[in-house]
Amino acid sequence: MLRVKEGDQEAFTQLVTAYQDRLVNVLHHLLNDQEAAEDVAQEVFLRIYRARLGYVPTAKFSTWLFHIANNLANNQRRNKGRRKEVTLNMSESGPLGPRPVEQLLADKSGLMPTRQLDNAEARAVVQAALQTLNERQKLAVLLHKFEEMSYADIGATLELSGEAVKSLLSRARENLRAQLEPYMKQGSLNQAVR
Amino acid sequence: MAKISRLSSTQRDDLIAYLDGELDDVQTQQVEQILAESNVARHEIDMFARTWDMLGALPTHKVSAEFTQKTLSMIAVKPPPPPLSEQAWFQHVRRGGILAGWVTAATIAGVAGYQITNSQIPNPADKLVDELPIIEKLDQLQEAGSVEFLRELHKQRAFDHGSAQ
Repeated sequence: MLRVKEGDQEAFTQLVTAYQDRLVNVLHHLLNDQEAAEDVAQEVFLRIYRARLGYVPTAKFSTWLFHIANNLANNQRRNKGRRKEVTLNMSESGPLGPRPVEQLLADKSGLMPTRQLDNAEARAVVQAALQTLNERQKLAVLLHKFEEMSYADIGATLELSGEAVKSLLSRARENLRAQLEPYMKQGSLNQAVR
Repeated sequence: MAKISRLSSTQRDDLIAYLDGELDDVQTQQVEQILAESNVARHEIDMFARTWDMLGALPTHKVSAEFTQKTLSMIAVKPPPPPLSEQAWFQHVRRGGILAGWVTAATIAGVAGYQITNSQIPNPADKLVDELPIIEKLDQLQEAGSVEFLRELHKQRAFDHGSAQ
């Protein structure tokens, strides 16, 4: 980033190449939409480029990157939410919001959860479980799981203390466990994931 | 130590932080002691660890083939905003400021010039203003006849009587 600050265009290309997949992966899980994830990722890189002259390496670059990404993803969700108010189709979404994991699986098979899950279904179960988390919990989980960020770095990204991150991740994992435990007990999800 | 049948919220937070390697030495020892003594804690940590492993089933999303090129060309198309000194509004303000500066300087120079001129070159009107009391009483002074007569009256303090009143 310091090379980018000095006007090295090639360094910026390297930066985009190094972080684009990681960034889009997290944004895709946050926004559930590849196109929206790529749009936000582009905006993140654009903002970083524009802010390059004022860049001061006080924290990790990835912390700064995901902090911007989180803010833009929040804006994106707000805008999408406003649009949804107009286009909401009641037949596809009940008053309680997203369908729970059980409903999602019941859609796929009337035998669930007693039968074995295949990989695609296991993915769907875990994805649905992830979607039951609130936005902060979800991002904290994604950063910890995929980016292997420490609590301190997650705190810097979300502007939270280390203790708050500890509590946030704990609640998130309690929620995930509540969603996934029935399948883990059957052993079906563990086998599918393996 | 009494058998633990239920973990507190703090203990559960610590169990997860222990799994994440985020506890200091003292806290780590405390958690390990709880794990050694409690089936509940061992079960809990096992479930949390397995739940966490489940997230490995999440798909990994990559950017589309054209993303890099699109992003880099977008940055080229949308150059960063020019520095303040090169922005149009700043140029207008700057020009306005320069003009206002010149107008102010010209006004100050004009006023100063007027003052200096006034102080250096005598104005004929000033004499007229100075002599206004005499001009106003010119008829009475002419009636007095001569200057010598007036001086005589002044010596005899004839004017003091009027001023004393």
